[in-house]
Amino acid sequence: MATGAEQASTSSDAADGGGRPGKVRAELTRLSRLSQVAVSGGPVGGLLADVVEEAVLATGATRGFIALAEVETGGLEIVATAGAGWTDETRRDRLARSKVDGGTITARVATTARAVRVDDLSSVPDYEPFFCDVRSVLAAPVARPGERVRGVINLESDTPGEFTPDEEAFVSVLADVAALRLAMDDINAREAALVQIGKDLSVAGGPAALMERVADVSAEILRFEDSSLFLIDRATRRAVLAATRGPLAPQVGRAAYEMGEGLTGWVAEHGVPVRIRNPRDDPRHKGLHQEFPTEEIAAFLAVPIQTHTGTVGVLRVLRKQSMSPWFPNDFTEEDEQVLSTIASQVGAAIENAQTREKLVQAERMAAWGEMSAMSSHMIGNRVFAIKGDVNELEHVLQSGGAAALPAGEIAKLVEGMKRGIFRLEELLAEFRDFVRATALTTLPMDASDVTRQAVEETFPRRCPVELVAEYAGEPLPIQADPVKLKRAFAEIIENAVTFQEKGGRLHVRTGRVSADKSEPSQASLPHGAPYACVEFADRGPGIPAADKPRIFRPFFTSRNRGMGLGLAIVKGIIEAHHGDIVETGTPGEGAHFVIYLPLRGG
Amino acid sequence: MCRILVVDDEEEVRAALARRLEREGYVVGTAGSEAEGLTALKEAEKPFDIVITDMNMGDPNSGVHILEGAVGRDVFTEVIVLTAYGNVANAVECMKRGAFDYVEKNLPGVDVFELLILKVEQAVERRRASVKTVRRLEEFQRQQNAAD
Repeated sequence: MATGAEQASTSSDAADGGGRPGKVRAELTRLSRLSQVAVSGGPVGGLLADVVEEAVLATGATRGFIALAEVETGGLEIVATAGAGWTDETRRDRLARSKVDGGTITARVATTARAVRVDDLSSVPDYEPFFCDVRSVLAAPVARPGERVRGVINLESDTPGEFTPDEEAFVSVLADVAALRLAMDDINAREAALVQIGKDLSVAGGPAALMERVADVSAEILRFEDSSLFLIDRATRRAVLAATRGPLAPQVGRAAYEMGEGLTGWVAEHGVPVRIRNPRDDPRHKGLHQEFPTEEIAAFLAVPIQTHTGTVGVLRVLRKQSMSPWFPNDFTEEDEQVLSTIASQVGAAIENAQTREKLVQAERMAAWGEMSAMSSHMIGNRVFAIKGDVNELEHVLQSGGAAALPAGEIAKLVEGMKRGIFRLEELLAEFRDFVRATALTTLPMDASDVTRQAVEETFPRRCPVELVAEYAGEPLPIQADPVKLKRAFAEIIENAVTFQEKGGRLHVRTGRVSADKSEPSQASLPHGAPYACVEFADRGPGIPAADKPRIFRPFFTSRNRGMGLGLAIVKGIIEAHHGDIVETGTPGEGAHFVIYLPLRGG
Repeated sequence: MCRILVVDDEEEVRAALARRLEREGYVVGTAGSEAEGLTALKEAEKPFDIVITDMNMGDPNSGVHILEGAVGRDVFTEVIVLTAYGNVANAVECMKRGAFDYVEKNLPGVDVFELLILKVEQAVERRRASVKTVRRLEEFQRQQNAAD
């Protein structure tokens, strides 16, 4: 109620032209409305337009604009205008000029972070007005206390002495509202980016993919020219370049710092961040492996990547010298905090990957004991049978020689031996595939393409099983070892064909899923990440419910062939790709294998 | 005519064993699993003289079970256990329970089939001796009874 009455009286004051108290109240009301707009989360461009509009209105200026500093160059870019005389062309011209002309009033405000009010421009000798009618100017910095100037709000009038000290104070408050909003946007963006990095890191495969994501997302919030990730090799006590986003790329795996060598090596050795400007002035600086020449580096920031076992790497970012003398290029304490947060997430991701690796290894090692017993049993039996054939052959040859034999007797024995040796070779191949399932040589490729190839190479040409293939219409970029992945798919396809001897159907499908939206499946995957999904569904007997928990274990087989490593190999291959495989078919109606592979680039 | 039952889950192993034993003139029956082996032992009209069984047929104690089945049917049946290379512990267990012997399938440098034939001959001999001893004992008891 009270608010309504006040608003009403305010607008009548404004309409009357108002006395001084009325004007103040009107300004306060506008300010309050603007503040609400500022924090409401609407588009920032709209707020800046409102701010300059209000400033022009409140001061009676002829026109005004807000220019923001460009992060890349330190130049000023006009982002909002109000009042008379603006056209797209004048905006562009003025923008071009404010970029190069360090002597303008706007540039002075940006440099000093202090408001400037000029009552009579004719008293400023070197002032070159952009609009020829300008007589007086009021310009205030858009800045938070103690922070870099974000921009300038500039008001011009065709009347000398148009702007009063009170108006200067009011415009400064408006500029603060704008600055507050810009700072808020920064914080939100940083927060969102940090969350994004956290998500990405939990699914990224390998340090290269990981670093790519770190660099992309942090570049959005932490302006830098280049970033590099060094991982410490415990054996050689060196920090080796693991990934980079700059010209050092060809040096990955080769460029390295001894512990304590150079600034990067110092961070690796001490586990403490280094944040300095002009690194060439630091006695620790060596300038060994840099993205650009030392003299171009304005600021250096490197933070340690730590896990519970200590410092495992260094995350380093560099900034070049700024084009604009008033625009400082130092890394701030806040920048350091952000990079440290990213580094701790990278550390956690590395630790995660190591733990996962260890778990997989432990599982596989546990299988070794069983493996050796099993393989000696299987291989031993084959050899035993071959020895039997040899024994028989010896006997046959001794007792009367080949001539006395019924035709084909020797051929039969030789055939038996051959068969035995072939099966031995099959067993050894299976054994080898199991052992090597997790050693990948990956390339970027498309999940549908590799599936199609596996089907074409494996599915028999003449076969009572009907093949239905549905490949995704969209690209499914994955990072994969084509040979291993095709080996995995082939195993499933061969199983489907074998178990549908009397005819049936194999349905192959590829698509994209997000792990949190996927069907209720037993797949254990990091949530929120997109996956390529490859499905193989058949109409064979399916997997009996009792067998379901065991089918991916080594030595499980329902066929009287091989060592029963087939699906264990498949699972090993898929897990090495940071994916997962589940079987979701209904017993009696067919087997249904669903394979998830992480999509590249999130 | 000496009758032998071969129990092994590998078809090629059964075939090779049967062929070699038949060459020696034995009558050979085969079974492809522990269950089949136990059934064959139970349902045979006349008990087998010798049983050759794989130690591990899915269950690491398959050989023990076959041994029990064989001796349960006829205490004079001699059992030879086949083991995979390096897995002797269970075979020794069989020996304790009265198996005649065990043979490792994959002894390097040994023609295991000849070794097995040797063991089978020894087993046949022991069975004969055991049966003879028991016959003599029975004869002796009968004479005692007659004298009483």
